Amino acid sequence: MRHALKVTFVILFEAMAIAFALFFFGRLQQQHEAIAQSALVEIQSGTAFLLLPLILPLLHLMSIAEKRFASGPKQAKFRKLQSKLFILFVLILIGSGFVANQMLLSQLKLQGYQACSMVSHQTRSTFTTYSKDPALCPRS
Amino acid sequence: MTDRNIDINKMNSERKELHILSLEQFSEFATTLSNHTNMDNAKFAAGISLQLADIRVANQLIDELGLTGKAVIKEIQGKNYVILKGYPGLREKLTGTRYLASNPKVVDLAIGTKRVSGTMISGARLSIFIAVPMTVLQFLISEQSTLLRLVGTIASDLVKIGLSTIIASAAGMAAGAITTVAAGPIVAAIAFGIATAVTLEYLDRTFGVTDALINAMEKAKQRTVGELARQIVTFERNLINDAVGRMRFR
Repeated sequence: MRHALKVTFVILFEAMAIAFALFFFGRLQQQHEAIAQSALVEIQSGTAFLLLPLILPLLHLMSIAEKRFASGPKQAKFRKLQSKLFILFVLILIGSGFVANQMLLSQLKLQGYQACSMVSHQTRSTFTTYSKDPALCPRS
Repeated sequence: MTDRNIDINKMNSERKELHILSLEQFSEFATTLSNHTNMDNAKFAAGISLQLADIRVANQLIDELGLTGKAVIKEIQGKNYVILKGYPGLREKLTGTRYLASNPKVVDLAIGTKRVSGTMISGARLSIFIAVPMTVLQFLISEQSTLLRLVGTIASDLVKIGLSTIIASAAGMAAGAITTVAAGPIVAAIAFGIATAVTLEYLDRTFGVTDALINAMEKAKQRTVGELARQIVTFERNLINDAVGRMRFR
């Protein structure tokens, strides 16, 4: 792959990773607002993984740091550190997504919301509606 | 007589079973099936089979090289080689230090960006093979579905699976360009694949893309086949009215 094309490609995907993360936080904020204002709140499964693409910019930052600051004998040490950081980032990204979602679900329960029996199953995600009053739950 | 024997032998070797049900029997079968199984859950499980297959490959790779294992792709005399860093003695399958990129062991473990793409494509294929028959079965036993809804849902599912596969493969390539961590490309591909799938499902639900597609197909049908049917009905009605008019005249 030509260098310029490679750089464009990487920048495009890093922008996409940031967009996914912004989408995650945007949805989270939207749902927190809905808890305060709306009788029905819809929760989508799988959104906890929206932060995971941030691993790409983090990998990039690590490789830039390696080139800038680690040369000669330092490089081997840095590579070991880089590998440990990679595991740590994967765990933090998945974990923080799940923690944020769990906090939202806890808040829903605290406010007296209950999951409606009707769950919309898409091919790769499910949408569960939560309501304070079961009579308001969607029927179909 | 010999020909007859040959045919029977051939038929026995290629035995197929065909169950013919009456409308009442099928209705009973559909009711039993929908009462005892949750097709929505089954379809959802089929949908995530792509991610599960990718995670299985990533798990194999991490088992072999460790999450932190390093692999570098180098072109030597026109051939692509995968050079593995670390102690070969600690590895179970890849006991050498360098392999041709086309080596079956390397291909199986999805090392290198091209291999990641191959893994994503075979995962997508698996997802399609399971999800499409599931959708068809779901529509067969559902009372309120039309053929257009079935076609529209399948078309939309295929587009979503295709898009997330393309983005996942490309993300694997991008990760391969910036890191030597062997698991980096496959982890990036899985991450982008799942994120794209979740986002596409959200966009579909929010903007009603599948419903819009079904409505557009319904309108197109009304404009073509529906219009033709209406013309035929009008023609028939005119013909009958004409014949009745002539009979009265007599």
